Amino acid sequence: MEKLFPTQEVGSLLRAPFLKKTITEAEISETEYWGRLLRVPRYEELIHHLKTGRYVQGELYDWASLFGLKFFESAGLDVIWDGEQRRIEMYEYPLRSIEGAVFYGKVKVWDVETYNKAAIVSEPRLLRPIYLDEFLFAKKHSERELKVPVTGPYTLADWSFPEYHYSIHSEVRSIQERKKLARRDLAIDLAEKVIRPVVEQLSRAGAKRIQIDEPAATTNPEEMELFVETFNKVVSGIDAVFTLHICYSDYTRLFPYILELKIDEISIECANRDSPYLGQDDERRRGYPILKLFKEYRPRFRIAPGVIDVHTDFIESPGLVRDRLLYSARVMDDPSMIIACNDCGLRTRRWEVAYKKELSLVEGSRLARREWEA
Amino acid sequence: MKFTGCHLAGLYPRSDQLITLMRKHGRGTAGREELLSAVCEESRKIVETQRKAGMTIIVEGQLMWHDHFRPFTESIHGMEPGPLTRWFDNNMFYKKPVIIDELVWNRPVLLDYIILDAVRNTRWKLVLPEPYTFAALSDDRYYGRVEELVIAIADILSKELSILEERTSIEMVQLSAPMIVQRRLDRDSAEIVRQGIKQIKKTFSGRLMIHTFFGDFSHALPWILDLGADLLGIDLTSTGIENLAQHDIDRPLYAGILDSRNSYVESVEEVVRTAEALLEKVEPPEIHIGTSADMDFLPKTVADRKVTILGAAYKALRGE
Repeated sequence: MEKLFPTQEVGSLLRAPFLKKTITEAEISETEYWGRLLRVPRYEELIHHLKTGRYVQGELYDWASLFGLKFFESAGLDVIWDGEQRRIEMYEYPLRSIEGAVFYGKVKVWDVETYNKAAIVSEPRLLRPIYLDEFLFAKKHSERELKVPVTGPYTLADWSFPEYHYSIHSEVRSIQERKKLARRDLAIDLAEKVIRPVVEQLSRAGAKRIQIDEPAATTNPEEMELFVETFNKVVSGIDAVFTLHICYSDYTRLFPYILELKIDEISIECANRDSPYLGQDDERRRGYPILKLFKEYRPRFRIAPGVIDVHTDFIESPGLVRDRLLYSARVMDDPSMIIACNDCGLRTRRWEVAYKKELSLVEGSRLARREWEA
Repeated sequence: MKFTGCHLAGLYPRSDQLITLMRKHGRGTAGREELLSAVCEESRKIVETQRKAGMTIIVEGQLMWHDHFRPFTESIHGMEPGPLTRWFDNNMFYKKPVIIDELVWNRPVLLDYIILDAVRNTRWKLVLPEPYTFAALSDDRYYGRVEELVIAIADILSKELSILEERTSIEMVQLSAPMIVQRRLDRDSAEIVRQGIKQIKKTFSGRLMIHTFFGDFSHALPWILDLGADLLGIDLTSTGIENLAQHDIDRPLYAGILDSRNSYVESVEEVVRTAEALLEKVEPPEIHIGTSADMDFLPKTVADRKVTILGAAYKALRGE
């Protein structure tokens, strides 16, 4: 029988201390601490390089990836990644490898937070493999099962300006209709001409698990069918386990479209909406009512409801993780449907906090397994 | 002449330099005076950009506003800025107003958020949230009845308007009202919208514009025609002209033609074509042209280019 409540991370982790712009004694000391704790092979060499200043940036990224892998391995997770140590973030990083994407400047996300929003000014085309090097490195340096996070086409389209695709529909007189066509064409192009080839490359290189990140999936309720279409264009016929990750969204909008998605797992954020109290009743587990809707639709895929909140330094106790998992399993009436997971990537948390959270995730999963099987 | 105005619909994007300074101010490494000085300078440039392009009414740019509600949630007793919440279907978020007590106006708020010096001696438009939209996008933990909250918000806005009118002449007030076109409101809700606007009109006797965006204007037809607005704003990137043509619209319209959410810069011909189609099919008594919504969805350089195109299109429509 397969292990109940297997543990996975979601993708990102704060960048390793030695990737900071300026490396001082403090960063070197922190690197040494983590190298020792995580048992990173030959980490002493890195310390020597940092102390003598004899290193090249590319090598530091390799080291960061290694530290990321060992971070999750050491915490004891079943399915891991390198914490996306080589990526700027999830949007601009892939866009930099797409022909046709240009950056005019930053736009507001909230207050004084901005992102570098791309305009797609010609037919998009993949210039170079995006995540392949990351995967090959990770495969070489970890025996653990790997899951490669890939930003999905719908989110890339939604977060970009569809300039080219708007311009090619100049014959359409209604701005509203023209805009709809532009958004659709861009999303389809990114699915077929960019992300599908990316996923194919990963699969050919041996990736067995791929996570498609689509935080924008539910932003436009009238485009849910388009989202499903683009997702399926990316994954259809590829031999891998596909996880769809969506966070901080209105998940009710996924229904009933979600049944058409060719996914094996869905990872959603729930802990952020939940109470910090122990217990397996509806009130204490108020972050998880969406699971009842999942149950109603009887999905064929497994669900990873986040049991670790990545937006707070509060360390969930193993007991809290256990209760969240057992509650989820009872709602779904099947523990094999549930995966133990974070709400989202851990990039917002310090390593010290993130590590404690991951230790709790693993221990909480063990407690849940023991209680369910007792 | 049917084309009688061209202006922008609200917030203008900040420059990268200003954003950097605002971050420094947030961290305590730049002072308030330094920030205000930079905001004043940039606001003046925004006004100049509009003036040069030939806008008939100027907006101040609202560089000090993080979102539509922030001046109020940060300053009015009874409300506070709450959790980050998605701003309609955009990758942009606002802090949801949380109503925790009776709203009490204690002191002028907007004087701290609007750079009056930048718009002095211009025909300018003050942009405010429409009371029903404000209430509907809030988390009300005090009033319980949306109509009471709407009137309380309208009272606050009216007091602010009075203060500003004592200091400067305001050519037009725009109430930004995306919530009234998200779906078709029932009769009771439409009446609440009307009450809120009526409350503001008690204080402000100048030209009032209600701008709807991110939704289909026809959702608010026909009742929006009777709200007493002098100008009704339509986001033509969300509303089909064909839908409007089925109604008898006898009010001046503001046509939001330039898409403030796409960096594609429309040609003068495209803008003219759409404006003329609106005139031909809907036959309103007057048309102003402008942007679909706030411009802060765009990088500043793109917003500047759109303003220039808007001015050129207006001149073309007027045969100048």
